[in-house]
Amino acid sequence: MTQAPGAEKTRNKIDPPVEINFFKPHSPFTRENRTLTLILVGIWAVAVFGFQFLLIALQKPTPEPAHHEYSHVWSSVEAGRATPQQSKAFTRSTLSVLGKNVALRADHRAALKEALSVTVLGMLDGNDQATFSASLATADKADATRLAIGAIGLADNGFDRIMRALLPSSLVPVTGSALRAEIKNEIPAIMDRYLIHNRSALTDFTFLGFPFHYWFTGQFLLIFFVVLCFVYAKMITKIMEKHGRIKKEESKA
Amino acid sequence: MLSITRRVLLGLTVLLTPSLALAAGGGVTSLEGSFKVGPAIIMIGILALFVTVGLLNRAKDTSDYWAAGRRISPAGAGMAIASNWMSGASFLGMAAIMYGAGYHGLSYVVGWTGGYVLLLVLMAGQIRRYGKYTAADFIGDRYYSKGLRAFGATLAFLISITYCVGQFAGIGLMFKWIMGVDYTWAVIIGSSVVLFYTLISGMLGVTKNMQIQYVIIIVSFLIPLFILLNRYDYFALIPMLGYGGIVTDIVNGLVPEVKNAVNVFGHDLAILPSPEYAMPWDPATYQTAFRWMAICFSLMIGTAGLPHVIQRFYVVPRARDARWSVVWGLFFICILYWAAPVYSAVGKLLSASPETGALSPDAIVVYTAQLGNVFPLIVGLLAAGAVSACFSTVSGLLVAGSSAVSHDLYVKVFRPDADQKTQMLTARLATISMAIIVAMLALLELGLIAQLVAVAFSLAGCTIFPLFLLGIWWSGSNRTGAWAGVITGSAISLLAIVYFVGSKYAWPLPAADFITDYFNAWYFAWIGAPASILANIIGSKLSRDKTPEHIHRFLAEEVHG
Repeated sequence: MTQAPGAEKTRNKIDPPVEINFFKPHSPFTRENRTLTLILVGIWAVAVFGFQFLLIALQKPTPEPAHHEYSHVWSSVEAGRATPQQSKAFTRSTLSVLGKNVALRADHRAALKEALSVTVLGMLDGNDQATFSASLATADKADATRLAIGAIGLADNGFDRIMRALLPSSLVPVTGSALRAEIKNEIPAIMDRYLIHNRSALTDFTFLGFPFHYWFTGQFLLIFFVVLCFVYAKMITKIMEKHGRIKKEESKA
Repeated sequence: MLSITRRVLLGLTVLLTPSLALAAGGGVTSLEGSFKVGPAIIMIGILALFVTVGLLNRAKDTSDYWAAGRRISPAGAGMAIASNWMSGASFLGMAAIMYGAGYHGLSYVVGWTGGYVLLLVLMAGQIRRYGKYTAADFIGDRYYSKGLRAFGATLAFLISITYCVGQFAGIGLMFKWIMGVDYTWAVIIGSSVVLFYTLISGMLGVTKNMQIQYVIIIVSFLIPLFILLNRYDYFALIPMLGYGGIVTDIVNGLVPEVKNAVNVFGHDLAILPSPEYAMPWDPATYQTAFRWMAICFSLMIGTAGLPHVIQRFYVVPRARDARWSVVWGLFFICILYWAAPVYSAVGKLLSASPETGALSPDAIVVYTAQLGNVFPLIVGLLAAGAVSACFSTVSGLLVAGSSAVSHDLYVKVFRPDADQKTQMLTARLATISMAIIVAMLALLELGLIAQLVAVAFSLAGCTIFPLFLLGIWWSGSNRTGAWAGVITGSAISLLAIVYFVGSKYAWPLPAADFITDYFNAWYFAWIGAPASILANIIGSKLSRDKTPEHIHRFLAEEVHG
């Protein structure tokens, strides 16, 4: 057995020694300490986890505008009878996902690229189709990009400009202008995954430029932790002074 | 003391003057690959400064080595806590997680700060009043068991190793970035330098250094943010508030005409609408609300169970100082934690162009400064700050881990009669062994820095935290209960870690999906800690073993008296 703490010199001897139990305080000091601890830990837990539960309770799957665009045209694209406008809308929605700066799963990325390329190919006339396919085999894909920009109708400003920049890395060689069955099966789940988000009043309301929930979690909680610690350090000092514990603590130092 | 300060300032001037001159001429033209003269010299200068300060304040005996002679003020101890805490995971890892997983990354920010509330309210003052040197000291004495002391020391050693792996990975990344060498060589060189530094300085030097390190870390971290936000016309005076506009721009999308600015490669500062960056547990990030809360909870209780954090409370003179050192420490920590997400948001915006290509998330802090065309000298300082963050934590961890072996195992269990010289030798050998093991593990590249560090938190939360919580607040917790608790926590930890390693090497393990979801290596303490506490209570209640009277008395009269 190692040297026990009781072997050290102790002051304020209590006979018989009481059992220490957080929930059964043995003195007015420990009772006040317990109450303070419970209050602060309770506030802390509600602030951190209560808020996240509130987010869960209020959240509603909310599609992006690009998802609306996609869902309006998907049945026609899937059936292979999309109008040029519907095809344009679909390619824009695929580019909206491909342009996200989030790690898309490799198979999802591949499916989207194929769907985009097939749809663009289907929007071109015979000669352009040949040029498009030939260009996809080249390093810069310049002709394919130019034809795709024209077919989709991408302008040189706004979000269109970002989408134009996406095309060289998003167009891939394809064999026909009809979507494969596998791709048709995959696309709806992919679009739902990347274009539907958990939103609520707490995420839509902005504060100091932040979505409110983001500010609360990333900024307010940290300030709140410092405040809680400050309050505890102040309060426990007061409680200890009230019960004559500070002098005892300092005499032990 | 004055002469020490003068010598340090003189050394700093001598070291940094050529750095400034050379760095000004060393432009950064690519994100990776080449040897960067300016950043290299700044890093070497800062490391030389740390070594100088360590040498000037080196440990004279074991008391100095383990607890810095208990001469540190609360604000100074707070700064040391912050520096000790602000590791590669804070400096590099948090921005990396947020860059990849958006709001999910905030679970790390909240988890690594909120735990200090628990630590303060439940333990800090009581731990100091208990008056031991190390976590294993406490466990061995409180549970009157040499076996538990040895087990606690082993756990402290393992936790320190696990924690260090992420730091060594961060050191490797930064050495690789600065020196343009292979990652393997970067880890080997970086490990050798941090080992050399820890061996010659000891904890007294470490504590002094930590205060300098804190200043370097925070200054190097904030300066690029002022520059970046100012350059791209966001509110730069307080970057932590100013980046709200960036988050909203990422969510709603930003067309090129609004800022009419480009990154270092000439790509537009623009992004398509990306709500997944800020929306909670977004499906696009493959994260869930359960994971958010499990990680947050595990990191919080892990904070209150980490031996090298607990050990910081032994270096202040009084319990009141221990409490105020937490308040100060958390304040200093929060300055960086408020700022870390700014890098992920600015990085998101600057790397949105597909032409920028995929970037390594763990280096996103440095890449962001580069993409924003921040002056190379400042980027070099940022990288040196990252190295400092890793060093400050690693040196504390190496001390905690080696003292677990030399003090708690060797001296207290096997050789109580060992003289001071032998104790110091054992401590140094343990430090060297740890550094070698950690460097080898870091070379395996098992995960992101923040994730690797999270494993250490869960391990501490499952094992050390329950022993401290019940040991302080319930004198009925006895040796049998402690064994039951620590074995339960260790078993759950082992299960999670085996499945984690198994997933990396495609081992055919049963129920792998279930275990990966609910006993994940990043957050297994959400279940492991409550299970360990429960096992401790049941074991204590059912056993005939009773806590000795003198421990009841000590807890009542000294710790809670």
